[in-house]
Amino acid sequence: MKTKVISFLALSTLLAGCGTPDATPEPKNVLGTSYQTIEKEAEKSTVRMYMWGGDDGINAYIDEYVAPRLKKEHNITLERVPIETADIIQKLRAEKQAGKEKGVIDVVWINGDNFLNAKKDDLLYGEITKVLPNMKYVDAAAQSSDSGTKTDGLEAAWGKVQYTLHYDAADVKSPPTDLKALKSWVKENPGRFTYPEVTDFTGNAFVRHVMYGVESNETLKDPKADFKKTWAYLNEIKPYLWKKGKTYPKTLAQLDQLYAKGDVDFTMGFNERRAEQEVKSGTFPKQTRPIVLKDGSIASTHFLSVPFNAPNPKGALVAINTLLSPEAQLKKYDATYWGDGTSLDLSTLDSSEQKQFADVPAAPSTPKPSVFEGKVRTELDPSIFEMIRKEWPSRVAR
Amino acid sequence: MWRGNAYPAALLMAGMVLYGLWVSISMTTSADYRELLTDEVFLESLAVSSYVAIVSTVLALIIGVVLARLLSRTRLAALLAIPLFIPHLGAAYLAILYLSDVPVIGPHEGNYFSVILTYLYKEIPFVFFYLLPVVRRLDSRYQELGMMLGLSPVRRFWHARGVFLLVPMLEAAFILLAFTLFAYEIPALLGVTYPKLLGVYAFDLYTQGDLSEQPLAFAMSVVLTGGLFFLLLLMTGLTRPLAAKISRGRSE
Repeated sequence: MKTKVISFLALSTLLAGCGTPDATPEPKNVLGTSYQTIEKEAEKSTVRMYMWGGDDGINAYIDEYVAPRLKKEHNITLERVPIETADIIQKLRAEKQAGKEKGVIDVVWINGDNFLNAKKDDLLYGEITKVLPNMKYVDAAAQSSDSGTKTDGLEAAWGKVQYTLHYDAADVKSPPTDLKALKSWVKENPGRFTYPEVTDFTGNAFVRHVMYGVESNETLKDPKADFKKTWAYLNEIKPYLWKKGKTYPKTLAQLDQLYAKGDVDFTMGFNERRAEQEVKSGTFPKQTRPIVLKDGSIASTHFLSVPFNAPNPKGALVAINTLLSPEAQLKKYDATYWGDGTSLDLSTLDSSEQKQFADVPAAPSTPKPSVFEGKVRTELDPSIFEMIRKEWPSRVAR
Repeated sequence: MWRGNAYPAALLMAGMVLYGLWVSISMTTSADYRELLTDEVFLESLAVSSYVAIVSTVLALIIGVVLARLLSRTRLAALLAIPLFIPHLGAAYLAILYLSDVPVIGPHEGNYFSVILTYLYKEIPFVFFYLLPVVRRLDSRYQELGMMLGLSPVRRFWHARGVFLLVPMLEAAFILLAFTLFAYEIPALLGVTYPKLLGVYAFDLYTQGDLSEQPLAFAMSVVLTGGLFFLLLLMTGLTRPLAAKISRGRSE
């Protein structure tokens, strides 16, 4: 008898996964109603925001500033769920395939490949930007495309950052200012430099910076080209990298650890202000300073979006609109929590707000805005990211 | 001791494996298998993964069974349970903490010594406790009988011990091999960029970029599951006559 009960339980567990959705989905016409209606109906709801959780400052910004504000202004409870963005996309794909009309994710933090995949597989809610009042502040250029993919209003620009290298000035006396000088420095200081492998977002971007530095404009426009000079550059520095280039940090977090421990003298990443927090908390060396290479710095925008099967799309829209407000962006720009570049076009703000942005103090690890003049590069074609991922293992890592 | 019926659990596990296999097969075409089997990155990954899996399995088996012989009647056996409570992920972090500065052995070395050592740390206790009941039941009178009959030491070992240990050792070996061949956490933390071990390579193929490489990851899981299934059949086919003889009380 007991056996039969257990078998039945086991079988029903198996079958439970194949059930039909448990509740009726939200009507899809949310985007057709006015923001005032959405705002009213979103009151007292819970919004679940799924986002990368690897940075304490970012998490604190959401938990200590955004969540209380949403609670106070809209009586919305914001729950932050830390998860890798690629896993979110996998989850949504699985839910789409299983016909699950009501998911669990309301807001997702997204950009680059993950957006490309989500757009291709139709995993996002729709043209959310047309109902958000605060879109009037958002920088149109940053909003228009995400790493070369047109956003088509499926996501709203949340932040804009520049690729910056950071080094420990206590060890590096004459820091390189372009790729050529970087190469010489790496050769003269074996084992003190490396970059994350190219499956990592930041590592892949490092290779694209090398491309900007060594390839001609025609080559850069052609994803099918053979990027010989790029591979040559990377192979030339390889024997002088950390661990003689036999292995690379798997993620930016690992490179940051090496840098924090003093095993290497450089780290890098999208976000010119990202070292401020780390220096303040004592993780990075006190003498951390920025370098923006003369060959250019790629600008990257990151976005907020709503999944196709969000259980609370109205609450999600209110949360996103709040995150795009000048006050929330100013708080995010300030390095107290995060220090993330704003996605707003500051000229759309009134003069007192503009002044507040200008008055945000910058630590010595943050480059002055003027440093980027003439060096800002747009993202290359998205198929180049993929090409790097495919070619680099056999051309460089092997 | 729990003497419940194992069929529901077996049914559940088999259901999960078969469903996974079915999904993987339905996601792939024959072209994906051709691409996979001619992909040098995969072949190198398979070679280095096999090396890691075989070396760690064989060493864990030998050390595990020797320890079982030596410690079976001592209290030290309880000490070996400690690593069992530490997850593989935790063991990998221990390796990063304690092996990082050791040359040649440390993490991120092409010879994968730190990965093998971490597996040994986790799997020797597994082998130990898997074989402990068998070792404890070994009857020393068989040895004496062999001596009386004037058997050579090798034949004496085989008839008194080897024959009882062979099947459980092969079972343990299969479990370890299947696990280490495709595991993710330890090689992800301690491994090198190239060549990657299979678990990490498959995960990368599955999650990276525009997801166009996903069929290759599925093909990989089909190939490996098929290979392991073949190994299982081979093993049970070879040992069944022996197991039957033992249960009838004869080994010749």
